[in-house]
Amino acid sequence: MTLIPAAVAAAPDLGTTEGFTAWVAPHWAAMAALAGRYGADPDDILQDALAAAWRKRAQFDPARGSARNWLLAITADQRHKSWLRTGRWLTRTRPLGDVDPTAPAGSDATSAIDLERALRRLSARQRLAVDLHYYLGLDVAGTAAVMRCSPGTVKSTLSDARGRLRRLLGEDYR
Amino acid sequence: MNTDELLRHQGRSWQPPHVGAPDLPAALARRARRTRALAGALAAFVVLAGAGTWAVWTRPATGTVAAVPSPTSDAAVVAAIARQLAAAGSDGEEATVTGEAVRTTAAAAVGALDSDLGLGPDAPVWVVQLRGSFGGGSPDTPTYPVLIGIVDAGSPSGRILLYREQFRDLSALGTPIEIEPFFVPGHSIDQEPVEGTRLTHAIRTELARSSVTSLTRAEAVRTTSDRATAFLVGRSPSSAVEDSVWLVELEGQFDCPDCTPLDKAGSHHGSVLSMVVDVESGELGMMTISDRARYLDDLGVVVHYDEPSVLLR
Repeated sequence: MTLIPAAVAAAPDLGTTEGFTAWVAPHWAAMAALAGRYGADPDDILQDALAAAWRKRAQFDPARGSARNWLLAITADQRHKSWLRTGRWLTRTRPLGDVDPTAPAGSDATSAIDLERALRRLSARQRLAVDLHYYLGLDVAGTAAVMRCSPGTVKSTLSDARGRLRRLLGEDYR
Repeated sequence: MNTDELLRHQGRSWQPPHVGAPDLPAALARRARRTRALAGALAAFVVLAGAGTWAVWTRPATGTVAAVPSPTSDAAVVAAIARQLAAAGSDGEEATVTGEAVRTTAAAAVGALDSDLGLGPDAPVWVVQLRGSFGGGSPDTPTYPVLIGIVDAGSPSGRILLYREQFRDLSALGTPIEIEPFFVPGHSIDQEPVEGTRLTHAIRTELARSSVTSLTRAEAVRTTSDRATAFLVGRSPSSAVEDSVWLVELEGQFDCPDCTPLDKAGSHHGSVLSMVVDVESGELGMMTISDRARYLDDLGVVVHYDEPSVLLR
């Protein structure tokens, strides 16, 4: 016998692949963005996240948080697992093909290259906080919900991340 | 522009990669394939282990005194598993490790930790949680204070390691067995027989033969020998053999008498040193020097050394 919480039972579509896919669809772009920020293999991360969300759908409780945050938390877990699988001491990086490497110093392109390389040197938690807050546009409360920690912890993690980025990027970005 | 402004600006202008619509059947089918592959590997292991055990049991006795198996307590089993896990997950620093373990079922472990060993739902597993310093491996990769191992109780070689920030309460899974504190000695990452380590060792060996004034960037990409050669010297592929290689690009200041100079002046001094390293053997295939940085992104996913100075040790 499968036990399904009342919250899920009230949304019968979640029990079918079609209904579940429709439920995920509005949040898919945010999940893709978070997976894409990791760099390599965003499709793999997304596929794993989707399968994991399906497996754990009975655990989703709307009273404890939004569907978007729940799905992003699962995507963040899969992103971290992917990082652990690909290597603990080397960082696999997304090709910087979208950026013109010959752009003049001080341009957006140069800043983007500098920043991407510096971001790779943050800890996994710092990078996740930066990705959620700055690149996905989540506020501190939303970031905390995805990271399963308090807003205060998110603020200190972001502060630590910015401090390290300042040291890595040098005088130009004080 | 300060760091906060830079992050906001780049965050707004960043474009996420294009991905298709969610395809749950495809995702589930992919997961099922992976689970089957893992189950197949485990089944093969169990068959081999069973055959080995049968061979030992049925071997004619060579002595006159029958062996009496000694009883093994759960605490002793857990202690042995904990030492194996700590050694496998160590960040290379010596540390004192403590922890606890519970015996539960695979299904309960999956539910609590969202990590699947690929066993049947009722298969017994040990969930071992250790406090110490794990992960890491280089100065710029994170370390974690908690390591959780999910271990097949029937075959301790089947296991999953999870690095975590916080200690979890395992009492919901069963009665925790406390693990006596034990010591994990430090070790060099060179001792890990993995592909990346072979690459690092190869780069270190070649750099030791050159004169390196500075090393500011180190990247590598996995490709074929033909593509790497064509990328470096512009020659079209000459062989049908698709050897897997790492193409490494180092930026700094180098004097390399053994390198092939790529610049017209033919100087053996330059700021960009490239090498081709065989993936399997770690042997050097080609080494060039020039003053022109190339971007390896065209060849595939670039592996970036967070701290290039590790290559000079």
